[in-house]
Amino acid sequence: MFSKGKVMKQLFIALLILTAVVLCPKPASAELRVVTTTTDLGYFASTIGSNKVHIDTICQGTQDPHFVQARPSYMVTLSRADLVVAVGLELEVGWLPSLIQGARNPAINPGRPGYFEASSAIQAIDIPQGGVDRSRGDIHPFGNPHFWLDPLNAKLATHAIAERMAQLDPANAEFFRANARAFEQRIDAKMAQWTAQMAPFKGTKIASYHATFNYFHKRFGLDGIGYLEDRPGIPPSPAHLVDLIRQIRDQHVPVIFHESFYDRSTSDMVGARSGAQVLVLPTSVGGANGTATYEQLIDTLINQFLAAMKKAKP
Amino acid sequence: MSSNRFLTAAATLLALLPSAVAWAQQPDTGGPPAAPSSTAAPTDPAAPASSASAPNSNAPAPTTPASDQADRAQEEAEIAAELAKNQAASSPTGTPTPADSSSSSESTGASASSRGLSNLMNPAISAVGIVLGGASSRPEGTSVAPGDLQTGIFVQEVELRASAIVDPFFRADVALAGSSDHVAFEEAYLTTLDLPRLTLRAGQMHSAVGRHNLLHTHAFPFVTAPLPWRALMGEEGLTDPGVSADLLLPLPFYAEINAQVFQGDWAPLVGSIPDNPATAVDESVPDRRRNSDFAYVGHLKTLFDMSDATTLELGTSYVGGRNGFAGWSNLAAGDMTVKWRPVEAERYMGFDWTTEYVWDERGHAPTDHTRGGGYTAVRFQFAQQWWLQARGSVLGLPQGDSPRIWRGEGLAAFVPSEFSALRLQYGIEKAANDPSPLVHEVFAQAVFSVGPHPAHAY
Repeated sequence: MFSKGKVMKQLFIALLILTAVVLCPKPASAELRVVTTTTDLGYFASTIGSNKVHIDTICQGTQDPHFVQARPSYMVTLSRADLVVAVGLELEVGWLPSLIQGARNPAINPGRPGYFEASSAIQAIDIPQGGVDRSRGDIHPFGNPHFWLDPLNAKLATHAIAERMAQLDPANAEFFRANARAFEQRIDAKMAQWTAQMAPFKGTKIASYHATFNYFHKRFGLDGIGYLEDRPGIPPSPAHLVDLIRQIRDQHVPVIFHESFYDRSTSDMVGARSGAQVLVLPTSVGGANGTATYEQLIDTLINQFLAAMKKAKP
Repeated sequence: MSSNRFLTAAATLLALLPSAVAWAQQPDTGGPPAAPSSTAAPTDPAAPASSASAPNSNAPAPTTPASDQADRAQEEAEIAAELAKNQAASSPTGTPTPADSSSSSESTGASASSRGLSNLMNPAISAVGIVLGGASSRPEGTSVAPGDLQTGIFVQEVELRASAIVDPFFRADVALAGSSDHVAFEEAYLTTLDLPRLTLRAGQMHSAVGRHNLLHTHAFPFVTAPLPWRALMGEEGLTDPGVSADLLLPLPFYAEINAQVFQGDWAPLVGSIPDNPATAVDESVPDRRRNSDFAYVGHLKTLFDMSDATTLELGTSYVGGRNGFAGWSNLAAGDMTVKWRPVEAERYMGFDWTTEYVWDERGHAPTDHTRGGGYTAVRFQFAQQWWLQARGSVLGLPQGDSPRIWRGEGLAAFVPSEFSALRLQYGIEKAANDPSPLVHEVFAQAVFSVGPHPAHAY
């Protein structure tokens, strides 16, 4: 049996002591602790920070960034962070807000220097026009968030992340900026190669499962004709697929880009019925073998596309 | 008599189910969808402008309308069959939503958010509605616990929620919940934003007792709360005005402590007993709770990552307070949840298993001095839009003054999108040592939510 007063008193004293212990100021840690939502942002941040920052990433490269489970263990990671780098444009709207709230770390609250959305550095495309409601599926009202597959956007994002890290860790500001510049130069060099590789295929028509590749299409002059998933977040309907299959046949669309984390049976079926090749592609760093760096990720996308086009040649 | 009526109603519901599923899976036979662009495909004028064509369509119109329509219908049927076989998709084709335009926007540039600038400072407002209908063989006018399902059609709940950041220091959440016969503030509380490791909350809110008590009705995994929860904690659960300190412990794994004080006008603490008019003696006992008799709640929640896909959550809770019989009430609860979500197919598959147990002891209570009960539930998602679930619960464990009651529920859910769900639940209930027949129930439920995209709790 519990005796009321005594138990309560002891419980509250114990809690009080615990609170005091927990609220003690954190020991000043030597390195900047950065948490990124995606592996691409993680790669940019670690390129900038090198050995002078600690990087954690929430969403794995093989994972669908729209649908991450808001596991409380991520709150523990976020509770120790100095900076959160997110994609933004509501990509993480289903899980990041509750993780940040649960982390109880004022430094990373939206609006603070410790919260940064990389999409703020780029020009968003696919901003829905006209009436926006959910009969169009789970759309992103502020534009397409999958900006990172355009290498020039990767440069812009890296530059902006470096500036934010410099603001939070002024002692290493020049180090961060120099690393960001080196990355931008690397991308410039690769960009010349990529542009040359893709030049012969300007105007090639592409279908994809979700609107993940639109920035890639735009940069390399591909023509996205439509999506299998006609309303984001809702499985494709047969009526829509019939239309798409006919469109693919009539317009001789050679390939379907399929994001590796979506169920591929639908894409395979559309491929088989329309004659287009299905390319299962990673969409993030670490999304497939041989994509440990951002440059390798874009290389993989381009090489797979080129190989498919070679096969598709009439 | 009543069992006849029940059977008829149950049969009707069961007969409707296959056609509902068929509706969800059938191809749109209403005619070819209209293409939005000027180079339109041949169109049946009666067809709704439905979910079809991709942007920038320049496709020439193929063949004649009549034979094309037949081709289309056949191809759609084939595709529908394949999709069903793949178990990866089954969607409401041709859902007659009035604004069903699917031309995905390819436009670049100019901002076109339909939200005006002035709306940015408004709270995020959302509404949730739950419609419930079905049949129960439970004799009318009898009930074992508050919230027992009764034959009929109901608006189970409508919830209107507004959330906003108040200023740099606070966030506020207000939820107004109502059903057919009453409306109440389910929640209205202020949360601190700016404290390290600690969140303080004040207002009307759900107390942190176990897992299920924290859920809003629309987030219930089954149509109702578990039987022992309704019997021991009341239909509304342990929700009241109070204050809460929620502390994230500085440990390598997730561990949170909630220390809370509530007004505590709750079933385990109130102490009045109404007079039984069937007997000559006056058994009525007035509630002797005073305004200064609070309920003290403590809760520890831990979560461990077993692998990339699996987590184990363990929690324990305590509620104490002076009760209406002028004694002290203790309530203790424990919960365990295993969750599995394969990292590369989180959208398509999942499994979780939750078990909770609650026990209370009400000092000086003339009847039901100690009570207890628990439930165990599994949920399995086998395709993007489909769930199968089962729950077993028992009231009167280890013992109680009233007979032990067993209850089993099975549920199938079709979840078209994150914003809607259609669910069908079958339940049976049996009291031990009770000659009356098994209670059968069949209930169908439709849930919708409108408003900003919700951030999901784990």
